[in-house]
Amino acid sequence: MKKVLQVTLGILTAIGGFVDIGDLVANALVGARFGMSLAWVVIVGVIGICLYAEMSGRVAAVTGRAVFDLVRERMGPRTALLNLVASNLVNLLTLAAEVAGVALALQLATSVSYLLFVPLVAFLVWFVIWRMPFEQMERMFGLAGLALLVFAVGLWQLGPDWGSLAHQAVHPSVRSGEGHPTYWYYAIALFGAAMTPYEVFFFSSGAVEEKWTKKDLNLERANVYIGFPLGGLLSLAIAATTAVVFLPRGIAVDHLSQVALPTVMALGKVGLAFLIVGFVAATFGAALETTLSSGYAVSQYLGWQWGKLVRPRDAARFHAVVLVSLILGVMLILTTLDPIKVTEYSLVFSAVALPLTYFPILVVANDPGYMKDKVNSGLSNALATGYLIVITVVALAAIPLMIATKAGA
Amino acid sequence: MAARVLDLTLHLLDRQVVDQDGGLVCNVDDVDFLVPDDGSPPYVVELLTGPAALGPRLGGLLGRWWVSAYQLLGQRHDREPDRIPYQLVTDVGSAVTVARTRAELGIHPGEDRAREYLVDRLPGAGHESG
Amino acid sequence: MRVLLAVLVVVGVSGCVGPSRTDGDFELKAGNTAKAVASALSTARLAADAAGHGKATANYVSVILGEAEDDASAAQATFDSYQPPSAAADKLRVDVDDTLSKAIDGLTALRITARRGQIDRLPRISAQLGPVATTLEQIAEKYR
Repeated sequence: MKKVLQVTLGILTAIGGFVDIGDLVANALVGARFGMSLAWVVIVGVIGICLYAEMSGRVAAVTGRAVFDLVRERMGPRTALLNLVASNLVNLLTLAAEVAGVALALQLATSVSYLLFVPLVAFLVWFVIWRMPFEQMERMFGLAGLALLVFAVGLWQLGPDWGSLAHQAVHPSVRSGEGHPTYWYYAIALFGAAMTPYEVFFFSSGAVEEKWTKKDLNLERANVYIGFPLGGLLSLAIAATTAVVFLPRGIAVDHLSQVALPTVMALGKVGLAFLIVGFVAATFGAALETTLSSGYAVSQYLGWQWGKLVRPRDAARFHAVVLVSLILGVMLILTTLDPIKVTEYSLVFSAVALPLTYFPILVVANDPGYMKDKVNSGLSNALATGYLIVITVVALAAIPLMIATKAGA
Repeated sequence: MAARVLDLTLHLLDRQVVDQDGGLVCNVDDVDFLVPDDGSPPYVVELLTGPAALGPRLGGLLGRWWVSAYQLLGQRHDREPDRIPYQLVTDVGSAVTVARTRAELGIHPGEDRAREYLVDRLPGAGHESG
Repeated sequence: MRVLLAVLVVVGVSGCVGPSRTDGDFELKAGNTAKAVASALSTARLAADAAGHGKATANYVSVILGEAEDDASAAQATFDSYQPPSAAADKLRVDVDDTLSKAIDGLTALRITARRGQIDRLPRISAQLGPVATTLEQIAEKYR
């Protein structure tokens, strides 16, 4: 019975934790502009993240070491340093976007400018990292993030033409008035949203923090293989709400307030309340994860003590990195850059950085020196190698497409 | 630990060093080994760590800059790496375990500074969060 | 890293206002501006109707209306900064600008009403903005 509860909790946490500001913005934006014709990208992305999250969790459970710890051993200090710098720059951009996302959600509730909330949100992020136990932190924000399931209820209440939505998804085509490069540019952003690299850094370091062993592998797989796809379905529901309401009216999504609008139209104030709770929980949870990821990656590269299991004074440099990352993220947002644009850029640069994260994971998961009998199976290797090719193509195409489409303009 | 044949790059370099309580100490940034005169195989004497050990391995301008930056931050005044005698090593697995505590090894000028100037000044630094 | 910076610069610059050398160019810009303002106006009208029917809180609707107004004003300001290349373009500019201004006036009225807490009046103002929305959509459709 306890086991069932544990599995259920883990899965629910994974669903709530799957969606962050990138998924919210990318799915709503794409739904409004391209309908469901990019739904396949979400599906491809979710399979990819399942595959690699499972691998990184397995590596952590078997070796007791997190991903970045092993990146340096396998790639050498020089390449790993380049990797660290690039991943952390992208991570910082994502961190800034998540903090802004919490603040924007609070703005929707209070109509007070989000900029005023940013320092407060950052302080709370730091405080939770400083004080709250790891598992409690994960559970709380993951479960509260389930409030976002209101998107699915809203979609059902909107009473869409399901056949037409399904048709758009099954027969993807580029709408008239949109160019092919723009379509592919947003495909990459959506892919970046589903496969955000910080998720695996965090997932593997979190596994070490929660002291997973080989015995936890089945639990881990259940979380990943059930939780993430359901999170992906939630992403599709977000896209479908804007596809139903905004696409026929030619409305472009530029704000978080618009992401909420179709659901508010369907469900009223109750729907709005759920949305705001869900936005806050999902973005706050992701802000915690990205902030911790910065600390994890730097500490693991340099061999410092890291993590929330020890007293902060015993992981002083880790906490210093956490604090500095948070301050840099806040400074970026306080320049009054449009947070939605920051989110979009963070997604595209995430896509560029994907191979840096995923290639080392694949290498380590195949190394019997670390993994003994738990190396990748032939099937997961075939799939993972296929994905690595896709990821590399995506990474190479991202910036040229960004320039060609003037960032999707 | 009994003599064991190790591939330096594969088993030692860049590994995490763990103390006897499971605390994370540092990475193996470099090693010092001795080649005996009698023609027997070389053996590892010390594990080297710290920017002065990592810098040269990064190589070139970046490596020199790495070492200098740490000097500027006042971590150390000399350009000598920290050393852990190889006799202390009890296990080489996915991490390198040594039979001492972090405090006994005392090779954390950076950690000490971060603790002294930042972390200890914040309330609750001495309590575990979980 | 250098590549990344260069790319950021390129992307940043390419987002800026380009010169419009021909009438066709200018018409395209008029069409895009009308499209952007129409999008803001439609968003605002949906939100206003929802709020008027008790479906949204005053805080939420005032945020979404404020953002719509800002977006529309910014789009108009950018359009006004283009140099019309000919007398024909001059006329187009005046016509389009007129419609844009009507839309923005409407958005302002919605925002003011919402922030006064007169939520129940929003649907009526929204209904009055129907014709402007249609005109904007026609302009967007014609010059694309």
